[in-house]
Amino acid sequence: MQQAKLAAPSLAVGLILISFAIVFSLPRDPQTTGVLRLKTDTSDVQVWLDGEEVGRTPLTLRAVASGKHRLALMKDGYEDHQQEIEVLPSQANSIFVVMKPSTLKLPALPAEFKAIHQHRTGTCVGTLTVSAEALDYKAINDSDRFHIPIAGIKSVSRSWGPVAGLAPMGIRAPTDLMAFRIETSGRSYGFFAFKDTPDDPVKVASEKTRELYEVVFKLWSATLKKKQNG
Amino acid sequence: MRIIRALSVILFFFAAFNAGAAQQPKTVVAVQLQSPDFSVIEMKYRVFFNKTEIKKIPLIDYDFKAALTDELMNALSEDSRMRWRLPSEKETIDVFGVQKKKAPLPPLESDRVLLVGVEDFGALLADLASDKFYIRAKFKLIDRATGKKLWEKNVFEREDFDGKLKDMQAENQRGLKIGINKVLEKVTRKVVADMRRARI
Repeated sequence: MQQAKLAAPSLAVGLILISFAIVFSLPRDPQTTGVLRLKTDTSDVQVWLDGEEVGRTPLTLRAVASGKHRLALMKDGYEDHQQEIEVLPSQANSIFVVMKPSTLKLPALPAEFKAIHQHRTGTCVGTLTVSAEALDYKAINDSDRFHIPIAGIKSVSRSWGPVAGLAPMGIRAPTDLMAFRIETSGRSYGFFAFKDTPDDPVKVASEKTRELYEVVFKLWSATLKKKQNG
Repeated sequence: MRIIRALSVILFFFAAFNAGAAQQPKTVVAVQLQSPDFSVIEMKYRVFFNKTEIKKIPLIDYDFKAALTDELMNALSEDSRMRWRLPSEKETIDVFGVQKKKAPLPPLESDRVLLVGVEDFGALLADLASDKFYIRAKFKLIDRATGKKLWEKNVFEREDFDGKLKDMQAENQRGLKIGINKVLEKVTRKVVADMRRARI
């Protein structure tokens, strides 16, 4: 009898939970979301939407909030593509981008980059020297200094998104900027390269960071090939 | 008791839904091109004769077959009457041969096969008319076991180009890719809508 009394409320709770699960597993309201289909001529292009990596092309994103979004497309060997897009509700929004091959000329080594080094809390400004063997960073006020051998790098990556607190180079924060990141065993380092210029500082900083990324990536890839061959 | 009944009804609906999914015929989508290159057909009108020149241009960094396959699979996935998949590496299908009944189908783990044979794609240039991008293709859905035709559509889709292709010098490849992508999307929309209307 006691068990029978308990069975009904348990079943009711179970049913409510099931209904909640069904309701929350359903797609978001189609009136406020749309489907975004992203295609590029060359495949496997990294897609960033509003500063978050969402996949690689060709890509279909369902239930994207309607309205304006920042789109960035990146692939090695091609220029970065940035575009403001508008997703219309209850519609399939298709975007096709023809990627432009990169004409970036890499600087001769050793190359010096003015860089902002990201700490866990805050940043410092200094010079990052890239040679064939290592990366050497020295802060302007000598508050930070380190040496990273290229052979000790585990990964080289870059990202695109809003970054706060970059006043030293005249960028009003928060803004969209390319960040360069390297990972060694037990530690990772983040940088933004920049250049003192009257031109658009965000654009120039992103170009310089990309240059830094390309140089280090090329050196790092060469060490990987050596390891694989040998 | 009422609650138990309600729960049984919910479970019944779930079971029915799963049974429906299991009954969906498995369909393999095989795409084949006559040529991977972009055709430029230039029609030159003369007083006493018409001359046609055909050029084949490879589109750098653009795989038309992969683009069409992806667009089709994306659109077809919304048609829940069938479960769609691409052929595996071992399943090589001679699309044009099977469409003309000159080649047999290889052993496939599927109930149906959608054969997509792209006869040509490119641009039509004419002195006296607007330039056009086009795709000419034949879509045929067949029963794998019997080879019986279930649905068929021949497509010759065109899209007007705003301007003259010859005027695009530096941006030529970019223009061709954007143009052919528009036709590709148009073809896919039409074919998938036509297939939805068909009682298959």
